[in-house]
Amino acid sequence: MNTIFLIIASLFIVMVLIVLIFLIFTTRSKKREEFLIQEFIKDTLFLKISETFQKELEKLIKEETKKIILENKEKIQKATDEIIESYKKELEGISQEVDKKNSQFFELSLKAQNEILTNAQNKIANLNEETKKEILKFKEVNSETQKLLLGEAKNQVSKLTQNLTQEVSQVYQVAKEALREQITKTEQEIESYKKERFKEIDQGIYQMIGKVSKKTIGKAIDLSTHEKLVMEALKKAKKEIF
Amino acid sequence: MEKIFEEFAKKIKTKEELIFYLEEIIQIQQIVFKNKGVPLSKKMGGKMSGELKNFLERLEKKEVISKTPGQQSSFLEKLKKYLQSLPEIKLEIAFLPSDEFLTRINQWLEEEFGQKVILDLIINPQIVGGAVIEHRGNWRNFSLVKEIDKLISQKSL
Repeated sequence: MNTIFLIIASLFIVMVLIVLIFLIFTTRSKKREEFLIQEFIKDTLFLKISETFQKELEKLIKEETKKIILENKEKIQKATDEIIESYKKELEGISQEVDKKNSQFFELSLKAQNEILTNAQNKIANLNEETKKEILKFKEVNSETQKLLLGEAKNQVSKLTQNLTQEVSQVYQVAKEALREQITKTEQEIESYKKERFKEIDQGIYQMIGKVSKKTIGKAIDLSTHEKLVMEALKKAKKEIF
Repeated sequence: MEKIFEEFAKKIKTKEELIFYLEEIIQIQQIVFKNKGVPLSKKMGGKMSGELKNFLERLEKKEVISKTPGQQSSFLEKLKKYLQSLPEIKLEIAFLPSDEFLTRINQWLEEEFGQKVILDLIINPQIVGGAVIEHRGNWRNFSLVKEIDKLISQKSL
């Protein structure tokens, strides 16, 4: 309890001190301001002005200011004209210099151009001669290589033709053999077909013969033969089934 | 009695004839009890075949058949059963046989079988010649058409 009371008391004291300091400060600043105002008032005279005077004063001020402005304008104009003149002169001098330099440069460049041209022409001439020489060399080399290539090509072609003829003959032989086999096979098939057809025809013929013979024999046999055949059949049946 | 029936059966060669006589016997059986006292041979009048009529007349003369309808009926029944019991042979031939040939076949069959045999005759020209014979379920083809077919099949192979 005592410590809490002490803390609260100390806080109160601090707050009071802060307020006192603030009050002191504000009063001092006010006093300073009042002092300055008084000082100002001391050094200056204050007059009361009338409205007409004020108007006259304003008019005068306006006229004076106009004059001043005009004068200043003239001065400024004059100054700017002088500045412009001086810059013009400088520029003229510079442009003359530039023209001079240009003409010098033009002469130099012409000269350089001519030199370059002559050099280039010389170099071109040299190059032409060299290229002519190179072309000649190349032609010689080309003709030699051509000869070599032709010779090689002829060799290759002859080899190729030899191989080709061999292969063609092989293929021909194979094809011939295959064809022969096919022919033999086909011939065999034709033969067997012929046999089959002849067999069919023979069968047809025999069947026809059978039909015709049944009709004709039946009519050709006389009664006594019929009776004989029946008796023979009965005798056979006696042995087998009676 | 059987010998009497055998004597009548000798006249019958084919099954067709057998059926004919059996039908006649059945017809007589239907009227046997009418006109009592009239002989059996006269009961049918002119509607009976000559063979059967002569047979019955002979038997009536010999007094084998009595005049009583009962005995007449019994006689007819026995005759019918005897005829129905006769063995048959089916004979298929290619031509129309003569009576003489049929008689010859019958005689030959009687000698072989020791009894009367009835021929079930079939005329079929398509067998060309020879015969197709059947007896008690046993069948044999001795026809010419078979031989021709055999020959043709041998040639075509």
